[in-house]
Amino acid sequence: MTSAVRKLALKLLSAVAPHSPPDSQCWGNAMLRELDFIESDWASLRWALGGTTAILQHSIACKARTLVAKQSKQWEEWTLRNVAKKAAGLTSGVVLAAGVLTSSILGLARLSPVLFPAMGFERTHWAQWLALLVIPESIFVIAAVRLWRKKRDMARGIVLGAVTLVVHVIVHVTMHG
Amino acid sequence: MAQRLRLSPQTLQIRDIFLEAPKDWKYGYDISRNTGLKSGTLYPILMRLADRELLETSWESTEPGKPPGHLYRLTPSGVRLAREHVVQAEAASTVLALRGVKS
Repeated sequence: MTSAVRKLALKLLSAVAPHSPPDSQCWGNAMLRELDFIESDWASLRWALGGTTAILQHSIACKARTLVAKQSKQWEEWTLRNVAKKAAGLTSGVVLAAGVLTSSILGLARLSPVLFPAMGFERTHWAQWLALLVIPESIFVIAAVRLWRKKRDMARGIVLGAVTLVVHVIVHVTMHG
Repeated sequence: MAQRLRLSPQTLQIRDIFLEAPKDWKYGYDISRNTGLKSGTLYPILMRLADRELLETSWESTEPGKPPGHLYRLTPSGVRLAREHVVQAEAASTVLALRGVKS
């Protein structure tokens, strides 16, 4: 006949084992089976109490490991997505800046002498500066300021384009006068 | 897989029990009786060893109606590591003994 103490031991392990995570369940069942071999009732209760503690510790450790793994995976994915998004934004900003510069050069330095030959753009230095530096840089600054809040990466790309252009002009002027 | 394991005195006791007959499967309660370790101490160590794949577990196949027991033994890598620990511990104690003789 099963004593009340042994019943309590059985109930304790039976209650804990099924509710523990899959990794711990097998250990709970193992401890439960061992109860059959323990002769003393009080020893069986001590066994169940120790086993319950061990299962709970193992469950917490398993859950913590799973959580950490999940969090690090999410972080990795987020970082990857974020980097791709930033790179795309920056690239589009640079492309936009290059497009503006090309349009400015083509528009003012190339088309204007054809459309307005009287103005003499090819011979006028200030017109070339206007087409190559002032107009594109003004557009870059306005665009960067407008986009800074909503599309910061694109704005950064435009600023990068603007800085590159200024540096290029400075180097060109320094070398060629 | 991390092979590093905290070798508490209790883990060493369990290691020695398994090394007595590495190929034999053992019951949890038998290990507990032989080492004097309570279930709350024994099982966390067994779980750690199993997590590191140093211990293998098996459900005993028995006749119908009788619940199977859970059995344990060291994996080949577990046996190798346990033996390495024994050799290292012996070497360390020899060195300590020699130092004691010299001083």
